[in-house]
This record gives sequence, structure tokens and C-alpha cells, in this order.
Amino acid sequence: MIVRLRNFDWLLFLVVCLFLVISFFFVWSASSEAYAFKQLVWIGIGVGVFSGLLMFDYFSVGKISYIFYFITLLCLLLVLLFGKTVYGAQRWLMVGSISIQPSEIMKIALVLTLSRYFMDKRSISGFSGVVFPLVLTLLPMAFIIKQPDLSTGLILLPIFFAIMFVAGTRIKYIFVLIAFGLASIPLLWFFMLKGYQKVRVVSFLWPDTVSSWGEGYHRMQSLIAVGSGGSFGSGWGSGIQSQLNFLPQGHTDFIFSVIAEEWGFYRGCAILCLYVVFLACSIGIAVNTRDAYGRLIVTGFTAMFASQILINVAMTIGLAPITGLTLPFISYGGSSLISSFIALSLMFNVRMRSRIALAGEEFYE
Amino acid sequence: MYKDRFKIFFGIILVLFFVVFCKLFYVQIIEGGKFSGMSDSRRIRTVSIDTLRGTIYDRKGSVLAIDKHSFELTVSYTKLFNAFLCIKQNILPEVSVGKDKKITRNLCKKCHSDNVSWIEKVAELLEIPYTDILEKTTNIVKRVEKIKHVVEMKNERKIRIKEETVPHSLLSDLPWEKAAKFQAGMMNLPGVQIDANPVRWYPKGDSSSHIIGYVGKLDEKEIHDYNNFKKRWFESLNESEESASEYFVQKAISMNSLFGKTGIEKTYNSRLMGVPGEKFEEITLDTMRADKLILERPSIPGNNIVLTIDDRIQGIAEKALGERKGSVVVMDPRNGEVIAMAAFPRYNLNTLNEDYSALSRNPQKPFLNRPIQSALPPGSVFKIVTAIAALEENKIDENTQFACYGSLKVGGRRFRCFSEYGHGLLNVEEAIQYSCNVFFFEAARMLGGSLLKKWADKLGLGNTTNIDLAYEKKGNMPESKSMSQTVNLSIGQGAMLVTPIQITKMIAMIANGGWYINPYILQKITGYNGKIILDNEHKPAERIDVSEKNMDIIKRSLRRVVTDGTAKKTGLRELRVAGKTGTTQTADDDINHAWFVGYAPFKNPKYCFTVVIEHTEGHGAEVAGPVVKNLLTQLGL
Repeated sequence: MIVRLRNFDWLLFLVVCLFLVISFFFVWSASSEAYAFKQLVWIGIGVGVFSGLLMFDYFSVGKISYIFYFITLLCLLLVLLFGKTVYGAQRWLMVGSISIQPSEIMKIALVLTLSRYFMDKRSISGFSGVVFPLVLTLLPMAFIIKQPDLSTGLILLPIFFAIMFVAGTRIKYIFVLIAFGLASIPLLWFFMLKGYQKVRVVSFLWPDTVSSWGEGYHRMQSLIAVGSGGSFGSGWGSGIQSQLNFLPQGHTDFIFSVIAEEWGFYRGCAILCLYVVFLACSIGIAVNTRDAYGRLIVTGFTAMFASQILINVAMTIGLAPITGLTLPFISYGGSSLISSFIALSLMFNVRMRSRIALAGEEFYE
Repeated sequence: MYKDRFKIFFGIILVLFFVVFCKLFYVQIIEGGKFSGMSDSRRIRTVSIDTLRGTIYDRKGSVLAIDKHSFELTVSYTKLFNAFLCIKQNILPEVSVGKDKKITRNLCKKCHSDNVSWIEKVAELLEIPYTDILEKTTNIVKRVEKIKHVVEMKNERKIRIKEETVPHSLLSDLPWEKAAKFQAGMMNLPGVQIDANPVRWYPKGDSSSHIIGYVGKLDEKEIHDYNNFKKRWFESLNESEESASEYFVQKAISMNSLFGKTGIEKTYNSRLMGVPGEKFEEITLDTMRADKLILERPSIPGNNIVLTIDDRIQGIAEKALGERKGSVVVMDPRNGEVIAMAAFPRYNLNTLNEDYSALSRNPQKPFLNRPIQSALPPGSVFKIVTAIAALEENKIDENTQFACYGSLKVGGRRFRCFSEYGHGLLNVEEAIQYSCNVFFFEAARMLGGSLLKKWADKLGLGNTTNIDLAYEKKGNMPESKSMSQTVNLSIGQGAMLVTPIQITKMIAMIANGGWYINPYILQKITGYNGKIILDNEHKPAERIDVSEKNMDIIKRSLRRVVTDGTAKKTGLRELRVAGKTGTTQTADDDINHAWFVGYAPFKNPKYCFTVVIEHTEGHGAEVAGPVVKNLLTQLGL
């Protein structure tokens, strides 16, 4: 096994660093200096976790992926039973004074487990081959949606589809699954969703008929913020919407609205382009990895990042319903930042440990 | 094979990003002006919808303060401006060039008589002189054009200012009948309309004005404070309904919203304030018409407040007090409900705006809510505390006697009793009955300063009662440092200052036999739909540690004050009153504060009361006694 530092993906690293700098300044602008420095602390912890995880071979993580998965699943169950309620939802689990958000860890656990499964399976011969990973995905998804955290729950689906797709499942099966999914939407609507989640979906689909003020209000304020940004924006720290606190949660979920208002269209686009570069780099890692396990892991994380970025930005510009998803590496918040860093670290891990040998043999030695 | 799949995967991501780019372009560049207010044709505007402040009721349900509608005639600016041009013909070239050129050049009476016809109609329907309306129109237009001129000079370009887009109030405070008549007769005049605005109305005028308090607009500092609150609130943003409404209350804070400044209006301001509605509309600037309602949140009226005050008894108390500076407090000793709290001088809430400057210059300080804000030395009333302290600390018992020879020398100073020749030998009951100073001097000498203060604190004197009214005064209960000071304090003189509500609280605790109570004034809070939100019923649960035996001694003596003692001549005996008089000397000779503190009926008291007449020439019993008699007779005891 060879670890090559020159395989460290400097471009990807640089892009992430740019995100972190942007994060620091816009958390400052959207809330306060104090929050910006708190964010800096979280970034520090995140970088620590990032470099710490680089020490371990991702195969050793892969070996315990099923155990990791079930522990996280158990945590999710515990959250439902004894979780701490914040913002009307039970998402946090208190261990001593530290609060953990198992749904964030679940995203990583699922990527690792699904990759492991598809690697072991090598080729999916029949439809029965996709049923087990589907169960692996739907079980935590149900728990997370029940918390209720619809968006994090739904993020698991693109991860599942991406890994399955890249692993070489027949396209026919994927379409069958999508058809099943569409058919089960009414089920989801009537049994899983809470009132406010339904309102969010309705307010997105038919904004004119919205009955709940709060949801439409967030959407409207975000749109006004983005819209008044114009081409060049109002300048850092001088966005009317964000500075006057019209925009709720400007430093977390709606940070892109603040960026769009204060930096305008061109620089907003530049940030989106940076994200495209980020995703392209990740896919580059996946393509260049010969080991199937590493490839699937990177694919899973790429799907996770891509869907989070797209949904978050789409939400701020009125393309998607309001959800609780954060913008990776830019939104304020320890939980999402650290889970993003873990995912990033594993991607680097794969890149730096490009294997010549086929993965399978080493795995079972 | 997997490489192709990666291509597809990346392709999907790129397509989705492209969609996001397009939408971002659309929102920021194409529609951007609409949102930022820079667009030339269309714009998003937010309009707030008025709400009603909650009603304040007394315990029997009669209204003390309510929001009622005041009718106002508003006219759109275009109409005013056109009328103005008609009136003046073409003498406005420099003010509004665009309109001027278009309209005034070919202005003739024949074609433009429409522009002034509404004025004639309004004058006719509302029975107001024609010239009045003309004058008001001219004033409004001149003012707006002046603002416009300044703004345009500053920006060096033509700008449509906000004043041009909103209707202006031409006549306000229209009587209901005229408004109704106008509504009926004014069907075909767009742009001229009657608006109903909420105005605070106090049916009882100046009765209980201090309790209710007044409302007013916020000054800049207060707005700043509330904005800070808003910021803090955001940091703990919660999805639950409850705090969402709290947030919108805070959001409603602007220069124009009315806030409680004193009294109940202040204490329960956040309850009373309704949540104004808000709507987002898309408007076309040319017509100033809302084309599309994007979002609307209806307003929610504020909560109603029900007080423990009984309006009838409040009226009786105010009448009994008459036009003498002072206060009357009536309380239910069983739970601390304040039933009446009268003060004089008062102010009339309905005419406060006109009277304000005169009132604030008045040396009698009519804004002072005397029952809770007037800190006075309690005088002989305090002897009750000295007696309880001495009895409880076992310095004296019911048989202990001291001899009064008219004065006592303590620490080189001679302290006088008001009876020049002395009362002779007295026990504690007789001492309270005749209000003998020397007895209490002796008792205080045995007690010492710190024990006296301990009991005064225990009975709540010299400390706020935390009644739910704003700006309660604390008074002062000094810690005595020398024996002569202690002796002086023992009869309620010196630096000691208490408020009438504190004294009422003390007497209530004696009247109910030693249960700890706290005065309060809020009975319940109800929603605008009548649902009870908060029931503020108090039950005494804690005892002040005074033994029943000593309590009986005090209660017996208080009854003897009325039957045979200092208040014998007041004729309160038949009203089953027990109480204590007090006369506090002020710096001026012959000017005293007269106190009468007591409760009735003396067995199972229903009411306890405090009457203070400030700066009067007479003595406690002779000045305050008749007030008490007047009060209790009308209460039906």
C-alpha cells in the first residue's frame, strides 16, 4: 500500500479553503463578529478531524462500515425516543454536554455501507440485488423524516441512486425504483409528513395559494434579498435584507441569499462555479480510482454534496421548498461543517491511497 | 463502462446547476428591480394591516380602555394634486414640471371641472365649508411638493416619492353619523374614501387613569432597545407558533405603533398589543394599483385584560377622596386583589394629548400614581410594626407596662409624646389605642435598630410590593445606627418612607391573621375570542411567623383605636372598622400627612384600606377618618 502526498488534490483543497474564507466573512455579515469567530473555531476542529482521518486507511473504515451503520441507526432510534427538541424537531442526541446530530453521521455511514455492499456484490445480477441496499437506505430515511427532518432524509436518496448507478446496476432497475418511488409519494404524504412540511411543499408548488404566512414569508424575504442584489450587489455588510434581519437564519440555511444580495449576480455565479469545480474534482478522483470501493465512496459523497448544494441554493432563489439543508462549507454550524469535513477527508483518503491491487483481495486477507 | 456512467452523472449535475444559474439570472437581473424597488414599472411593496389593541375590563366586566374606530377622510394624492392645479390654474411651473406641462397648459374650466367636483361633494355631504377643504388640500400638496423638491435636488433626478403614492388624510375624527352618511352618498368617487383607524378610548375619563396608564409612540432609544430584542430573538429562532407571534409583535414595532407608557398599558403591553397583519403586493407604478397579492397575513387583535379593580368601588374611593391630594387603596386582605386604587390629582386619559403640557407643569404632579409612587413617612401607623416586633421578640408581653410622662430622653435628646402631660401607665393595647409615643420609644430601646428593621422588612415596608404596575417606588427603610435614631424610627418618623400600597399590604396581612399576600391587579387575560389565556388567581400559602396570640393582641388594639382611641370621634365604630391613625409631621409646621389604615368588618375582614391625605393641616383621624367613613358607608358595610 502506497500513500503518496503528491496525490493530495491541491485544487480541491484550494477550492474548499476559498469556501471557508467566504464562510467566515458572510457569517460575520449575516449575524455577527462573534458568530464568525465561533465558525472559525468550528473550521479549526473540522480541519483537525480532516487531517486526523487522513491517517487511517479508508479500508479500515470500510471493514467496520456495517457496524458503524447499525450504531448510527441505533442512535437515530434513540433520538426519536429521547432526543433533545430544538426548533420543534428532535434531531439532537445529548452525550454529556455534547450534542450529536446522528442524521448528519448517517449520511456518511450510508455512503460507506452502500459502497461496501456494492463492492462485495461486484455485479448486480437480478432485481433482488437492489432490494437490500434499498432497505438500508429507506430505514434511516424513515427515522430521519420522522424526527422530523424531511430534507436530510431525502438527501439519502440521491446517495443511494448515485452509488447504485455508478456500481453498474442496470438502468431498467433504476427506472423501476423511480416508478415505485413516485407511486409511494401519497403514502409519504399521508403518513410521514408533519403539517408544516406539507405547507412548505404546498407553498412551493402553488405560492399564490399559500395559507401559512411563515413559510411564504421566508421564501418571499429570501427572494427579495436575492433580487435586490442585482448584478453587483450592495457590498459586503450592507445588504438591506440581511442587515435589518428581515431574513431569518441568514447565517445558516439562507447564507446564499446574503451572498447573493451583498455580492450580486456575478460573484454569486462565481461561487456556484467554484462548487461545480469542487464537484468536478471529486468526480475526477472517483474516475481515477481503480479500486471499486474507493470509487463508490467518492461517488456517494459527491452525490451528497451536489444535492445539498443544489437544494440549498435552489431554496434561496425560490426553486425548491424551504428545507433545513445547509450549504456545505459555507453555512454556519458545527454539525454540518464537521460531517462535510469527514466526507472530504475520506475523498482525499481515496485519492492519496490509489491502489494498484484490486480491492477485494486485500479486504479479505 | 463506469466511465460513461460518470459522464452521465456529471452531466446531470451540470444540467441542474444550469437550471439554478438561469433562475438566479432571472431573479437577480431580469426581475431584480421589482424586488429592490428600483424598477421603473413594477415593484413589490409591503403593506401593514392595522390591528386592535386589547380591551381592559374591570372585575365586573365594564370597559376601562378600548380601541374604537375613528373615521378619517382620505383622498389619493393624484386627486389632491389635480384639484390643486385647478385651484391655482398654472402657477406651479417649477415644482412639478412633468405634470405641470401635461395638465396646466390646456387647463380649462370646462374639461377639468371634474377635478374639483369631489371637493364640492365632500363639502356638501359632510357639511364642512368649501374653503376649508381647499385650504387643507393646498397645504397637503405644498408640503408634499416641497419634500419632493428636496429629494429630487438631492438625487439630481426625477423621483416618485412615497407621499405621492399613498392617500392623504384630509379630515380626521369624523363623527360616526357623518361617516355613515358619506359612505352612503359617495359611491361614485374613486380615490376619496372613509378609513376607520383605531383610537384608544377610555369610557370612564379620568377615573382610574393612573391604573390604566396611557399609550404613546416610542422614542428612538426605545425602538433601538426593541430592535436589539429582535436580534436576540432571531438567535433563538423557534418553529413553534408561540414565539412566532412574539416575533411578529416585535416586528410591528415602528415609529407609529402605540405602546403602553405607564400603568397596566405598560405592564401588559406585549399582551395588549395586537399583531399587525402584513401583505406583499406587486404593483404597477403607473397606476399605483396592486395587481397581484403575493402573500397576506391577517392581523391578530391583542389580548384582553381583566383587572381586579371594581369600577364601582373605584368611583366611590375617588369620590371619597375628593379633591385632596392623596391616595385611597382598597384591597381584599384574603388574597391581595386590589379592588380600588384612587389618587388625586388625576388626569383625563381622553384629553391627555391636549392637556399634557399643562399637566406636566402642574406642581401637584398629576402623573404621579400616588398609591404606589408617593413615598411618605408612615408616622404612627408604623407603631403596629414596632408592637409586633417587640411582642414577637419577647421584649414585651401583653401585660408589660411603661409609664408615659409626656416625653422621654434618649441619647441626650428629648422625644415628645403628643400628649403633653403624658398617658401614665400603659400596656401595649392601650399604647396603640391612644397612640402613645413614649411606650414605643421604650419598646424600641429594648428592641434595637436591627430587630426593628428586620420586622419592617418582614412586613414588606420600604420595599416594592411587586404589584403589576410600572414604576413602583421602593421607599426607604433605614438601618438605624444610634439609639436616638431607633427611637425616632419606632414611631414612623425620620428617614423612613413607605408607599400607601406597602402599608395596605401590611394591614392586609394583619387583617387575614398572618397570611403572606402580595397585592396584584390582574385578574385574568383573555384572548380576543374570549378564551381565558391566563387566570391570575392567588391563594395565600405562606404564613408570616407571627403567633396567633400576638396577632390577636394587635387586632384587639386596632379595634380599640376606633371604639375608644384616637379614631373614636370618626363614627367608624358602627361600621365595624378596626384601624390605626397616623399623623406625619413635615418640615413645615402645621402641615401633616394624615393616614388612616384599617380593615372592615373587624371579624373576618372583607376589605382593608389605606387613606392618605398629603400635606393637610389636620390630624390623621380628623382628616382621613371622614374619608374612610364615606368610603365604607357607600361600600355597604
